[in-house]
Amino acid sequence: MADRVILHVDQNSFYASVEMLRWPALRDVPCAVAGDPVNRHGIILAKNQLAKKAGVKTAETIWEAKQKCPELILVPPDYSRYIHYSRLARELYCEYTDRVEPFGIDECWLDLTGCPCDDGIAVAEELRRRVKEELGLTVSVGVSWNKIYAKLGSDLRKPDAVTAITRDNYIDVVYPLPVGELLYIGRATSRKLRRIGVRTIGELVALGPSYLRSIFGVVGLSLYTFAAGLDETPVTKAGREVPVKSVGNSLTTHHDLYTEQEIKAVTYMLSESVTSRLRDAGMAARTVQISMRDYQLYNFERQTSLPFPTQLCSEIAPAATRLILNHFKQGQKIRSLGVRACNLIPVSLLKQQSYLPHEKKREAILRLEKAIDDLRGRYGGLSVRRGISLVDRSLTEHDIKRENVIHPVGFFEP
Amino acid sequence: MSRPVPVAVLLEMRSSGVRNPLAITWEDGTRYEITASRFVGLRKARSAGSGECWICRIEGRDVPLYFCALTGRWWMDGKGEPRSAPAPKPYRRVKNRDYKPGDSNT
Repeated sequence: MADRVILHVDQNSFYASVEMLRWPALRDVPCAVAGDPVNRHGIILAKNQLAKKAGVKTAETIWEAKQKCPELILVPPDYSRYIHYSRLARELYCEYTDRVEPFGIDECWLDLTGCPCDDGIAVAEELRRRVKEELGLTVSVGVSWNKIYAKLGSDLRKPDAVTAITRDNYIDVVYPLPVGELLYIGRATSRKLRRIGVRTIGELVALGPSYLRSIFGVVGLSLYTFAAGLDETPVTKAGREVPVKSVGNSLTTHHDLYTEQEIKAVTYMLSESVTSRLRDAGMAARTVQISMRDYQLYNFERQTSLPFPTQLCSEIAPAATRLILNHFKQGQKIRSLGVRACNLIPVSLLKQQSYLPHEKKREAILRLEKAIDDLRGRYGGLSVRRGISLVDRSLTEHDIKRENVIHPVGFFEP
Repeated sequence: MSRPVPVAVLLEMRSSGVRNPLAITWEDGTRYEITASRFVGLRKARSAGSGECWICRIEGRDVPLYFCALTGRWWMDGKGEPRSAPAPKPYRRVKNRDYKPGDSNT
């Protein structure tokens, strides 16, 4: 069977490029898109080439970046604009194939196998040129026969370049690269591999699948498949709905949370967004998970089961609050809180949960919460609010559901 | 050197869905008739941004007219220095020690 033709298109310094397109004067100065330090999101989200040369790194704090590059210009992020450009780019890719799988806001895989124009390198060059002329952004494109090598290719040469990894050159191109370049090999796996003397992708392949499985379990097999170019994961069709596995929201608050009331207010606000999204997706949750981060950035997560699958805020929020307060020590300062509904089941599969009269009350509450969803959909998330949110408006004046725009994606099929 | 000049556009919306610009009003209030126009799809503007582009014939010259679907604005490339990014807002630092437990700002 002939090899597949897979492209991975990565938009270079996406947020920074969109800002430079809007404000061309930023091209000649080191600039970065950074979160708002007042809301304690003060990290670098993306930077331009000049800032990169000065040593500014993505995800470092603003003061670290300013120390390296005092003349750095900071621009606040404008997510609606980034989503707009991301959608335009995807529409452009869809002109070539219907198999376009997004991986985050600025990356996509394209499968050209069987398409009228299946010359990977020619299409990659055309895409690169068209994105530059039509959108004013630069992309780097990797061409290969599997998704992993295509992604590796797009990371090799940046910006505005095409890299092909073929059956003829992959041993020379891929094998000498450090293992950390491979998808899903992060710091922890790199460290483990270094301990057994593996530094490059070639050395990882040389270990063989059975040895890797004995060390890493099933993940070891995936690592081997990825490294050796044997991955056959398909590129999903554009617009395919990925089944929801969990729904969660988290918030780094304006100031640390000290009191139980403040924690309760933020938890209710997060739970309202989570349950509203659950109702939109037509799912009910059987487990509630909370995550807490204190002011020293110590992170932990806890979860609890619910007696019945539910999509009611009045059931999820108290469960989450209880869970948080059970693990909250007096005097502890909480920096960020998260509420997640998991172990989901479609509402269509739900049967009557009990014969007790409270079932009727649950249905009434569901109708009430749906009515509130409608009101919020029409007049904004802050139009109807719980009394508890008045504890401290600086904490609760967020429309979590609308502000939640980024959906993290995973490579593995759900 | 070029800067984006926002313009007002007189637009004909045809029943087929085609949009046809008929005239523009420049920032100084001068109205210019468009004698012919051709839609060329998305284009990066010479001044700033990118958007749907029409090549319009105005006073015998072909000039691009852009439309951004996100903001709903129309603009053209004008002479002048490129605009600079807005000065960053001064950050109001909120320190934890400024805040006492139980404080509320309602």
